[in-house]
Amino acid sequence: MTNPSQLISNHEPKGETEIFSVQQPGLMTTVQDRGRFLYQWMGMPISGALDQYAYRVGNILLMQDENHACLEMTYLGPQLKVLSNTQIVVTGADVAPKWNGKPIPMWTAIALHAGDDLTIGSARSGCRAYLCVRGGIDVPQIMGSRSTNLRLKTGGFQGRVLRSGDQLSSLPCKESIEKADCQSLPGDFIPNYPSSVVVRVIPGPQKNYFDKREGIKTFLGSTYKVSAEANREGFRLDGPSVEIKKGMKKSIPSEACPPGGVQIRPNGKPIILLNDLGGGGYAKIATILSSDLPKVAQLKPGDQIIFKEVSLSEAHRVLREEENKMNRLKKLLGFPR
Amino acid sequence: MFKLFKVLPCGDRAFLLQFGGSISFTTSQHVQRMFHALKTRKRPGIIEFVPNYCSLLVFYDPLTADLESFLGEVRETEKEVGQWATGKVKKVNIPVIYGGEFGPDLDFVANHHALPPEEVIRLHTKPVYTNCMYGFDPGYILLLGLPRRLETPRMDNPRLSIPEGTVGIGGAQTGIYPFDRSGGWRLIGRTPLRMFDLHRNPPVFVNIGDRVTFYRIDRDRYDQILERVKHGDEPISTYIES
Repeated sequence: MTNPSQLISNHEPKGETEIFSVQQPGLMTTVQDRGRFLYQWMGMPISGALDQYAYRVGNILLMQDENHACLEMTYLGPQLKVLSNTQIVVTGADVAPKWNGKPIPMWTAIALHAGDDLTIGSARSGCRAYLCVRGGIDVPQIMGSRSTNLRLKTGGFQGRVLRSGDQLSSLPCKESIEKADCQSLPGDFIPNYPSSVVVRVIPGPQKNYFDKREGIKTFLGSTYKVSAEANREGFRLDGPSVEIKKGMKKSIPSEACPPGGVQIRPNGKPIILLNDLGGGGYAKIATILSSDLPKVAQLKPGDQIIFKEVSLSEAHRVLREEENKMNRLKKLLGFPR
Repeated sequence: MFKLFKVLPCGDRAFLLQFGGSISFTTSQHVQRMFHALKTRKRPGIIEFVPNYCSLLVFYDPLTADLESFLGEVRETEKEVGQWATGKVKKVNIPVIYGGEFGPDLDFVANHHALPPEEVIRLHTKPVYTNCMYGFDPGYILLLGLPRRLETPRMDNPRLSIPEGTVGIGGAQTGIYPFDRSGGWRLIGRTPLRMFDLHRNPPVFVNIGDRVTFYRIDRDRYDQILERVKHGDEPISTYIES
């Protein structure tokens, strides 16, 4: 069994460096990483970056561990004063980052120096941007992760969104700082974030609650809109109501579910479950492919979504392809290993 | 016993092992046994198990897991656990202050069933419940064993904020809200114990399959325990029978 010191990492100084002082926090800026695994049996949601692609690529561009913690910035990013020399990458939604007032490219490793100003703007396309830093953001590791869960007020920076006046540190990094400088991402690795997306799904565990000619036809044949109720726990969708088969209950015994599960609420409207909530009590008609979750993470209220069914084997093929793409990228960048 | 479990994909990184369709003590007990039996072994690419009332959710890495051999192992495990006795479970006794500001719906529940509030308390503290699973908050135990006479429908409009430790009834379920949160259960009391505490190891003290009873405490006792819990000097072992 683990001991408590493993559940919360002791936070003695280990050479971490203060890198940012938060001047303006942005709309909703949290520390996230790959996620919190192995504790879902006791009800702990996995949390973590909603757009795992942008998050991973950010760390890869810095030539460092893919699991280093970053800042997830929603709609409007923060204004930061740089406190010591570091290196950053901004990925995900196009947020027009500025360095001392001058525009800097997204998806590119950039060296910053003490005294610099880093201003992250508002999303021109997409919804969530990621700020990865050399060594990763240093906050206590809780149950194996630095991710924030706002509802539980746990993890990340004191379990909350960043505020003006917060000071952020990064962990020491072994590799030399020059190594990744100006490293930028080949164009074909940079995703577009359209406001209307087709998202692949495989049939859900309660697909038998829905008739092929009714509920499933409605679900796959309609365009849904992300409602205003869209956050890290889930997105409620507006659009045609999905019919539940006659005689079937409108709820199921509580059941855990990975991010991307699509539940049909009693009023027939779909809800996409995401990282900060581990499950629910309504029938799941489909589950979104993990490779397509980044697209979903970048949708804003009002954006449109069409679901397309694929088989599980096709989903696994897509996933392997995605992994090969990441390996190709690492090779291109001369990533160690 | 449950030879024909179903394998239901939940996306490309998880699947459910479904052992039954509706909530029952036998199905849940089987899930509990399978959870404890399967989690003892590490297998490449099999990441974690999450017990539900009727199923076990298995997270895997499609790039490294050998699902065929894992499912073979599940079938073998089923044969073994079918013969288990009750297994290694402990009994946890949870102190609760009922009614008043701590259980604002006690009177509603009593009226709903045409019982005096005292009888609701007596019925709620009588059974030995089973912790079947955790709801989707850490420490949110979901218990089976609520007397039929106490089953009460959820609220139409959930409350936006329910204090940590509140004991509620939702349909045939009873349990404890471990965090200040929203919820639709009928609130009948509150425990001063912390159901989830990162400074404890493990942070939860009710395991899957453990037996749970509630016992009534008065305001003075509640305040005493709460004070000690706040200062981290209330040993949780006080509440555990082995």
